[in-house]
Amino acid sequence: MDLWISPHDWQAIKLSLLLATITTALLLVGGTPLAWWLATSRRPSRLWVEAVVALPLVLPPTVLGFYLLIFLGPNGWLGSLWHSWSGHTLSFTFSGLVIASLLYSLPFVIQPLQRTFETLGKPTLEAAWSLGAGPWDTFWHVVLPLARRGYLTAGVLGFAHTLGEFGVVLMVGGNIPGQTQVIAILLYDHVETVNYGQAHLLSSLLLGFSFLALLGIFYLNRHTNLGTR
Amino acid sequence: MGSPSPCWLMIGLTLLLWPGIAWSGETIHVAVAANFKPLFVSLANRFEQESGHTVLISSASSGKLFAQLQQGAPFQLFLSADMARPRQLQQEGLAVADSLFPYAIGRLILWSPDPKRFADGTQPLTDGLLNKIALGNPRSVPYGQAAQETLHSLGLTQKYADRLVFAEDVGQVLAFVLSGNADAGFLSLAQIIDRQGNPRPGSFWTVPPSLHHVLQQGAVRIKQPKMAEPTLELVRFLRAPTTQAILQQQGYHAPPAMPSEQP
Repeated sequence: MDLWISPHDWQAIKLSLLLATITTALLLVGGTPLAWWLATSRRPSRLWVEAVVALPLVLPPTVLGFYLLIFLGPNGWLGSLWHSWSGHTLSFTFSGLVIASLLYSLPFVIQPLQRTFETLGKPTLEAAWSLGAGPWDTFWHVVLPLARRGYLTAGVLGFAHTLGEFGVVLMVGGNIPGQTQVIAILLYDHVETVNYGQAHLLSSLLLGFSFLALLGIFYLNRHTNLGTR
Repeated sequence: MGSPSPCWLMIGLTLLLWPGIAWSGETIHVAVAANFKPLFVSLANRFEQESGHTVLISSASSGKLFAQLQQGAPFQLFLSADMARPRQLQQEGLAVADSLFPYAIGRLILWSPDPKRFADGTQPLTDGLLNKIALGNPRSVPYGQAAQETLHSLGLTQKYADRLVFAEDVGQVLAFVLSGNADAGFLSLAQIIDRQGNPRPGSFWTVPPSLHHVLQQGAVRIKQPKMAEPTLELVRFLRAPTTQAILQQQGYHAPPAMPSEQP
């Protein structure tokens, strides 16, 4: 197997793994407050936020990529902010890709977390409060352990989804090895230049990984309860 | 409610089949390299009016179209940005023998929407002043390959090694540059000339042709069971002096005449 995976392919694999890891970690941590708010809030604005969070589920990736091309560029809101702060442009960089991936995989992490928090139920929380636990204490020692499986599901989904990112990267990536040439882009490249052997290799790797990820998720959730005893 | 009266069914059917009925001509599928597409659209319009045939255009990089044709894509005519790919299709027996002909010579430019970027007397490329340069992926875009050759000829490959951005075709190169994400891009001259012959606002450096391979753009007829005659009509239209005159106004040079002139 090692003989067939060229250094070029390895670079793309490592890049994709790094991108997926960073994106998933950021989404799990930063997404927790948002998911919690969505699960517990009763404000009417919740509806709108839920719709925005779910947008990347139905939005064609090229649409997201198109807007990112504008916003990450030097004339765009985010791009010019980044430029004045760091002196570099955001487009065609790994950092730009992370931002794109955060948006792309947002619902895949937020929604499982939200569902998990929703099924926790008030009685559990109230029991903790009545025993004198403060909000932080409750969250760390009651909510998180119970939401373990939800976090696992959200993490695996977010990771696998980011690993396969293509349309967005095609629009804003620039196909730079080591920076933005992720697995799916390199795979596309191989197909376009009729390197079917390497295309098969990358393709089956992604397919195998995606399938295992899904298998894992379904195994975790084979009982209907998500993390509650 | 009973079923619709036959009258309505007839009207409905007629409306559905109308496109087929109205056009007595045939439909030719053409695969066009991205750099030639904008011009070809207007050329095809004229051809359609003159001949009564319909031209369906699919556009992508030459490499992409080549790969699709090898997998049996249903095109009758392939307008590539190089000669090598159409030639190989002939060798593989996918294209009609001896149907290869050059239809244009392309010009490579380095373009920026900033009118001051390539103002007279400045050499931002050789001076290393460009932060990000967009070019087509050399593996599948002939103009991208020419761009890479240019950088190599100028000894700038190392200097710009981590400042290059690769696009799927020259159309995406233009998108990267127009959106400001790249400072400049290697394009075909034709892309920045509008149908009236005026250049887009901006500035560019015309790459001396000696720095890269000759961008001789070749066309070839694909072996298909149908449309042989209409495709030949289109080929004759492309090679006609009137069309050639238009090409030269729109950023291309006239191709050399082929030694064996096969209709």
